[in-house]
Amino acid sequence: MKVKTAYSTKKDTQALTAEIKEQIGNFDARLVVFFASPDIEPSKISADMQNAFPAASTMGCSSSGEIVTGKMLDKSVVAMAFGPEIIANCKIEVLSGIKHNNGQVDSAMESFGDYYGIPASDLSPDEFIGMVLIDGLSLQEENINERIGDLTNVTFIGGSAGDDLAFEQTYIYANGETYTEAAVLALIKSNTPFDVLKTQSFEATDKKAVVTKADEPNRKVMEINNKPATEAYAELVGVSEEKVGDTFFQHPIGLVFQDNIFVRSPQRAQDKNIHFYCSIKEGMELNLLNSEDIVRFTRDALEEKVDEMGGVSAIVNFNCILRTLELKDKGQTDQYGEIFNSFPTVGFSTYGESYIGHINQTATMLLFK
Amino acid sequence: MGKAKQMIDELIEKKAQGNSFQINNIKMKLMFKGIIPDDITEQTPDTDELISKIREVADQFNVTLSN
Repeated sequence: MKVKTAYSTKKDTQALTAEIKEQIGNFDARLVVFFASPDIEPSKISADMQNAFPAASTMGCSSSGEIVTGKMLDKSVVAMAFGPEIIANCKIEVLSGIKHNNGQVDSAMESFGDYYGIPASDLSPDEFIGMVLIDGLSLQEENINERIGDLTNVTFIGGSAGDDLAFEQTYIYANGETYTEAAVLALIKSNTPFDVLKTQSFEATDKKAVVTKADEPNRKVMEINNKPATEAYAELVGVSEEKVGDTFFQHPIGLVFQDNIFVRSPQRAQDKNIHFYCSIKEGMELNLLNSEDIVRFTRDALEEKVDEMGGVSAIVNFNCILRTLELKDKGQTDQYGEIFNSFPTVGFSTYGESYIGHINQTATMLLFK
Repeated sequence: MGKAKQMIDELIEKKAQGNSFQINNIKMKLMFKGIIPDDITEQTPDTDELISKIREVADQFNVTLSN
């Protein structure tokens, strides 16, 4: 067995880690990845998980809903233990104080290079895979993901830590420590083939939105197609300007490259401006998107990827909270969980997804054969 | 015309390090930085702004361009 998964809905961290440990059993865990509701004491969970798996590297974050094989959960902790059939080696680096401390991605990459004896820029993307978890309230995901991509061709996939929609404080966990305003990177040398899956349940229309005025650091767009943002967006969707905010969920916009859509989700309209869940650069040309069925699109995309890989032994699923909210709204959480029934899975509902850049309303998944 | 196209092709080739599977990933990274590489052709005007942007990204990638 390459991995083992576990979950607990207990609240006491010692009791829940004992339950997790019992479910994972006598397994040679090299890396344990866990996601926990912030209801579970953030100051204790990381240390208790590390104590439960003293020989393993541990990493995780707070969440806004959890995913484990066949189930979508709330107020729980979920974990996946990776054994030596997958993990040849693993190195974890923490970036702290990320709002005010630049240059930490560079330091982390240097550390990875030193550890593996190969500069990060020369690491093989076929042998190494990265995971990244970032404070989902920091507004730093764009900077961190882009800098990672500058410095290495290894793919880093992951998501932004949540806090059960309180939008107050998220937590990053690494090797027994708890961090705020932080990110954690793991660079894994894999013993087994791996791949990534990015799936979003949208189809691109041919309606174009060119961002002509934006405040990138604050993720605010003031003008689209040289018009006030709300006016232009309303025209694209075909509704009155007053109702444009009601359409955001079903009609985000996206960067489209070949068949790949990178979703940029509007959060709210305010004073003719639109605030997004990610930054958009001035001059970017985006397409208006139409919402489709999350369950069907995810199932189809996963089946295709599993066929392509010739089987999958483990999935880490970073699923956008906006997708989770839509699934809950439509009563589809059980159906979504069932998509992963046949595969050991762990994941969480994120405040943003990481794959090449920071994206929205998407599920990014790491899959091991 | 043609310099921007030459520069962007060289940037992608050097960053990909001979791994053809990386080419699309690098194009997507460029897209996030505001450059759409497939839109840059031999006919694209070599504006100072575009040339400067490509050089800036080359610096970020730690790639040395030949001109």
